[in-house]
Amino acid sequence: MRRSFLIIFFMSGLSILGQDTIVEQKPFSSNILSFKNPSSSISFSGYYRFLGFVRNQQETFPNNSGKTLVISSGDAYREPMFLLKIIGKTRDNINFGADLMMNSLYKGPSPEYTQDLTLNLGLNLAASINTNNGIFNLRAGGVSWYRQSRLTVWGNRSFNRISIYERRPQTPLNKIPINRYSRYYDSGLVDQGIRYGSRAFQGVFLKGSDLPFNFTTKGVIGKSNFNRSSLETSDNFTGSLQIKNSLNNSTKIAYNYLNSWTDTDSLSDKNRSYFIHTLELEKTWNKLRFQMELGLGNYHDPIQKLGYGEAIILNIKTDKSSKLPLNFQYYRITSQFVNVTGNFLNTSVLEVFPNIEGVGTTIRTPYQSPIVGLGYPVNNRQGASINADISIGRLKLNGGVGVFAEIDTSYSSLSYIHNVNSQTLSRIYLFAQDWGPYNALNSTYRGVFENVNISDTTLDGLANFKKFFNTIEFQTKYNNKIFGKNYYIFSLTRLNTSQNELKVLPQIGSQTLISQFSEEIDFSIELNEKSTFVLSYGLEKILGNASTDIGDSPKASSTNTFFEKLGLKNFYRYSNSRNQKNTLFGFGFDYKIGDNAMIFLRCNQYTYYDPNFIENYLKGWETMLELKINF
Amino acid sequence: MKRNLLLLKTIFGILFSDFSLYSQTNENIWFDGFSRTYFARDAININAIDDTISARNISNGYSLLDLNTHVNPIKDIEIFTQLRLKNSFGSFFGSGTEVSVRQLRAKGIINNKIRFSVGDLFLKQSKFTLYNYDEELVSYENDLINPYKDIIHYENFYNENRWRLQGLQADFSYEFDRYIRGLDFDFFVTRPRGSRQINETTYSSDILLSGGSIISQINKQLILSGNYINLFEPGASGTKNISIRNPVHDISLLYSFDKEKYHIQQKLQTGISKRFWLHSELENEVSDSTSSRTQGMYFELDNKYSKKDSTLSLSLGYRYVDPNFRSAGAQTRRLDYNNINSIYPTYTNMSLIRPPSIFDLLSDYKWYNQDLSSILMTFNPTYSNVLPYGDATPNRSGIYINARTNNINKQFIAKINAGFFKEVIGQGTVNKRNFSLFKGSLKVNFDRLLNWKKELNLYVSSKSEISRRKGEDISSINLFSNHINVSANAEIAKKFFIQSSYQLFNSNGNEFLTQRDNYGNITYFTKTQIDQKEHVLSMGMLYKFRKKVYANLNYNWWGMKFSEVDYENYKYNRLVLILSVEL
Repeated sequence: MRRSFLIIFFMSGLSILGQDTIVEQKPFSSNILSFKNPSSSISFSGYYRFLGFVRNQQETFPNNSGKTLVISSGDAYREPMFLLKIIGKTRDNINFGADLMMNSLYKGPSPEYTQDLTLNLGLNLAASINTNNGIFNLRAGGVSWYRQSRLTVWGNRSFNRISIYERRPQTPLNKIPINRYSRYYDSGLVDQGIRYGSRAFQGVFLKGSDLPFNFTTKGVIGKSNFNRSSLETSDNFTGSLQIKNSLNNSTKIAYNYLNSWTDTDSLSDKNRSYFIHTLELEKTWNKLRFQMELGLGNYHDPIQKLGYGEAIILNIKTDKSSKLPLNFQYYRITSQFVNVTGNFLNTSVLEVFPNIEGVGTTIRTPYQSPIVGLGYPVNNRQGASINADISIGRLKLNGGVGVFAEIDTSYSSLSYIHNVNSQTLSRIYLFAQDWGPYNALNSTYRGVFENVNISDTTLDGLANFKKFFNTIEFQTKYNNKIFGKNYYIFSLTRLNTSQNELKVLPQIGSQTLISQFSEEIDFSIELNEKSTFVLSYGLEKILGNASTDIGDSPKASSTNTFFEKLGLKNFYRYSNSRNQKNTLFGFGFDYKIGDNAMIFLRCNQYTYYDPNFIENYLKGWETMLELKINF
Repeated sequence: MKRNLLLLKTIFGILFSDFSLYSQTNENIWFDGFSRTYFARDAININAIDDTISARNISNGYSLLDLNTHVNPIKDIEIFTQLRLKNSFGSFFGSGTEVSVRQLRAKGIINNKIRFSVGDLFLKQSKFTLYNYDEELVSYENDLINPYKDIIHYENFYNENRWRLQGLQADFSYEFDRYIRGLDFDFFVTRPRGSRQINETTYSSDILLSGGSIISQINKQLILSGNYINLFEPGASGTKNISIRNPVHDISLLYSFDKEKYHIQQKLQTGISKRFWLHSELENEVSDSTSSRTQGMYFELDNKYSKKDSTLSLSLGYRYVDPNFRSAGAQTRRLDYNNINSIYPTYTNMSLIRPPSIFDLLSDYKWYNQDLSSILMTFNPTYSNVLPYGDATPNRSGIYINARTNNINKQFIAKINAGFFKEVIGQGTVNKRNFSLFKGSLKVNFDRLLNWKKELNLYVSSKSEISRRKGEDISSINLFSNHINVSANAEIAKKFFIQSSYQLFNSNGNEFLTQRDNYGNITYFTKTQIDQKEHVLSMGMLYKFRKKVYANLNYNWWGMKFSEVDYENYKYNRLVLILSVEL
């Protein structure tokens, strides 16, 4: 009876509690009480991207393991299959973001193939502070994409003369497939994502805008992806600052500063460092735009002190609305002007590239007197180029010609970036240095460059002469309709040469150290609103002369078998040096399966062949099926 | 691998389900969390140290995001997870990335009556049963050190003097309309440490911590409460046949009354503890036995007077803690001297282990402990000799006084804490130690004094500890330590502060370090001679969005000087940037 009474007593108490205590009062709890206090907003975006890849090698390098067929899923260049971007904003208007990357090899359920969840780029925090004297944006973390000026921090960006047959993971989806080609036809620009034209940085970023007297400023202190030490905790930083003033609507002037320093020995104060001061001037007169950046740089390390060197990049261009839009460029960048984050290639100091296993190869650019296209300045070099655009009805033509010269003699070698099959070759051996049967190939991110040795050297091992470079680029774009469907033809012709004499135009012949000719033709046709068929053909011919590497074939080969067959002796010669021929034939489909979802198929046949270097022979097929879904 | 899969599933589950949230169809999922960017560069002052084998400078940093996801699948139920994304500074494109689940909890109310939590819990009872006492050295107001303190507390889950535990907790309460006003019940069972494999055939036992509380509001002025807690090992969960038991009971009576201008509170509390190791399942059918059995009690009377206009608060009390009072939940220390320094752990050309300085202890969260300890942890008498285990320090008897006063406009804020304690029994000798503790601080808010809109304040504090034991020369003790702290903050633009601070720590005298075995028994006393001076000079700037949301950049010059030949002096510098955001 007493027990029953107690139960009723307690139960009656509990019902009171249910109504009042938990909700309104706070009875004792050993645990912490929490209250709903959500952040202002969090949103998610990203994509799923499946890339199925099959490569069947019919001809391989002799040191190939014997495996000739590759079946894989996922992008080999460390790209996310599933990218989930978290973007949030607190009630203090502080933005935060992270991008989760999730990959799966699809190689079976075995745990050894399970991939770690990781971040694609990193974490970012950004705050905006409004004051009476301006708006200040503070950002910390990274990776963030940062751009300042061409000589200090600027991503590689040229004239967008490329074949757009191959896709990149960052390439956004268009509303309908044909738009990718129509946009390239109309504006010449392909959106490559925010990273295009900028450099990856980690650190603290500060930007001030709406400052008194029309000033703006921005800067970063931290690390670019070149600031990598074998001892991670050693000093290895880059700092950069820009102060800009708009004098009026048509005139802007800016001061830029960059300093990069690296401890070379953790036990001493020895370091390698370079700094740059530049002045930028931008002036617009009616239809003429004048841009100039003038700089002074200094490099030193424990072994060498290069001292001061100057740099100038001058750009004069007419408005696009002109009848014949022209763009004149001049640059001179001395070998003492060293930088790896600017819009030019460093060729004078190899040591500024990180030399860490697994890292150095991913970001090292060609540094041995690279033969490059228009719009890619190089230090220890000066030269000028002129580019023009013209439209004749549906035919759009653009092109340029440039001549460049080394300021001082340099390495007894050259390097050239392959224009055709560059991605294909880089996929065969990712991020590898000095590979291939002749140890001449170097893989970078979606590209391959090749080194060429020069035999005419000084006692110091440098080339016995200054090198001169000529380039011609010519692009045609044509659009019309067939059976009511749009089709586009893009043709890109490039000729790069290097020789030991100054020439106005590119030379082909035995006097030329290296000549690189390439022709790429892309054809795309709209099958219906949801699908586009694409075709691509590429041909690249690289010829060396007797001062460059000699092949291992005992018999000299003809530089042009077609003219040889025709018997036109003036158009070919016999050579034991480089005589490379790369070809690519590809076709594919772009198909829209729904809003923000597309499938891309690419099927390529490639050959890489040199009759004088008998082991340089690759041939095969690549097939890629890409499914990309944005959200 | 399974962990990664689980992580993936968790993230998919949580984040995809969020889309429905974000489309604003309901508010069943909501987020908060924390984010921090940290960068520090440490450098040796080579003029002060003969060290040519340590790196001249060391830099490191990271960015992290702790994303808290709260899911309310049904009313009165919440599932909570904290996902940590961390990216090391200098690691690009995915390398140096850490993704982990930091907390996972479900909580709710059953049938609108019983509140429960499962998973990660933050528990606290009384100061003698379950309480996570503040670490030494951090009780100062110093805005240049506060960012470090925030990191130490956040990374070690120090939250309102609670211990982070994992288990199950439930509470409920009753209200009555006669005899007593209310009755609250609280229970928990947690596992501070799971069974671990020691070698191929040996496993340690789980350590469990269970407890309960009953709080009765007898009337408006009187509250009677009782707590019980027990740290124990179920022997069968491991292969060892020896397991600890440490039950603690306490009871307290709180009497409070209000007058028009002041409030008085008196608290009387007492409790007993037992601790022993149980030997069970012995061979040859030997019956169970116990060893290292101790039993102790404590008693405290606390009287608090506070004015209702908040200009004066005064508390005075007496405390007695028996030498054998043992309570793992209240006597576990935050600072664990078994750790080593993260920055420059060795120094000099002889690669000596660098003794920690106050700067290490104030700035390095890895010095701190999250695990309950069944025996008394070691402490460093240099920094805390009077009450190394907080109010629950055993073998102490004495009085204390805490006072706080400020004028009505808070132009001046002053605090005084003092304590006079004596050992209950001598350690290694019949003579007992006497302890004195004096701590005073003064904060002057010049902006309020001068009617400025922007903040300008100066803070000065001093803490002294004196430990003495009379007797023969060999056993006598005389240790004095003093910590002076001066800091100034000036708001030069809205929310933007320039800061400076100086800390000076002096300690000299002698003490005996106590060594204990695995069962807490004293095995040896090591005589130590102390004569050291430490300094930390800091200058910096702070942009403060609000509390817990700030950007702080400062430079520290710090070092340590010994008079003893056993140690070499050292000096280091640090540049630190902390961007801390509570989401």
